[in-house]
Amino acid sequence: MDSNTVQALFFYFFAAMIIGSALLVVLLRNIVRSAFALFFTLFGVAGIYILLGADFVGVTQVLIYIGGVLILIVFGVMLTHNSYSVDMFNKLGTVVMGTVSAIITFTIIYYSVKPVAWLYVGYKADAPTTQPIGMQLLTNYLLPFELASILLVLAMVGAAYLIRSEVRERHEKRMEKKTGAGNDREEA
Amino acid sequence: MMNWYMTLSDCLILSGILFSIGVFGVLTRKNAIAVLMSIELMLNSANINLVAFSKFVEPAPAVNGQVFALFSIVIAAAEVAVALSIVISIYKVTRTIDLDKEDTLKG
Repeated sequence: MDSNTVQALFFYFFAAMIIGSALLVVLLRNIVRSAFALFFTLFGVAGIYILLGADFVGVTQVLIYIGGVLILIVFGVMLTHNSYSVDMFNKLGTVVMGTVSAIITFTIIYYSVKPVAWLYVGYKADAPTTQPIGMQLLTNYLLPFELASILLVLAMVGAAYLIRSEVRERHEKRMEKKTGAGNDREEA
Repeated sequence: MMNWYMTLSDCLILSGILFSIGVFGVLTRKNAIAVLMSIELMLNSANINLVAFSKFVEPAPAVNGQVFALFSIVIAAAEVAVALSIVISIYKVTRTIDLDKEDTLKG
């Protein structure tokens, strides 16, 4: 077996892993199991990145998605714990419509991808990408890089503000006052 | 001897399948956090596209597609943090995350 065949075999392995676990993510009834299936999907995507020669993006995928996003989602599941036993799916009609929409989406993507003769640049040896990515980030993409840091700060502050309990209590007090006023008006 | 290649079309079709699964999940799930997970699937499929084009179409030293994928990952992380805090604060008020019951804004 030459290296191309090995690469293709690994590609099909990771593709099967991604598709299988993604189906489990959307089909399982227990949301904790969905979160664990999402772990395998994200890991398979990291494997695809590394097969495509993007080692830095692959490692970032493992660090941010598996180490950050997935942990956040599991915390979200735990903090809303009495809801994860509710029936996860909508009525049968909605499921049928969802299936039809997914099939239509895939058909559109398939027939817009398959007939195109893509312009290949030929064989590219896999070189380390960390240095060129760093160079790009600090030259051509300096402004988006700084904007990304501002976005992260804003997201962090916003998330903390949204779930701060003190704000919620004040809000509840205000709502109580409002509903109390509404009742008074009704009585009058 | 078999002679298989990993081609650009294969990567794009894989990402199309992943995106369609995400669409199915967003449309059929009732639990808000499960909808968030389906959105993560769709974001990942877009990232596969970016990295695949970077591998097969860009000339050798350029890594623009991978830089785009990195920015996309960063924005997805910010998105999921804000979305989860919104879901949790909705849960604190209404004690449910069933999307069919979140109809406070309905006229």
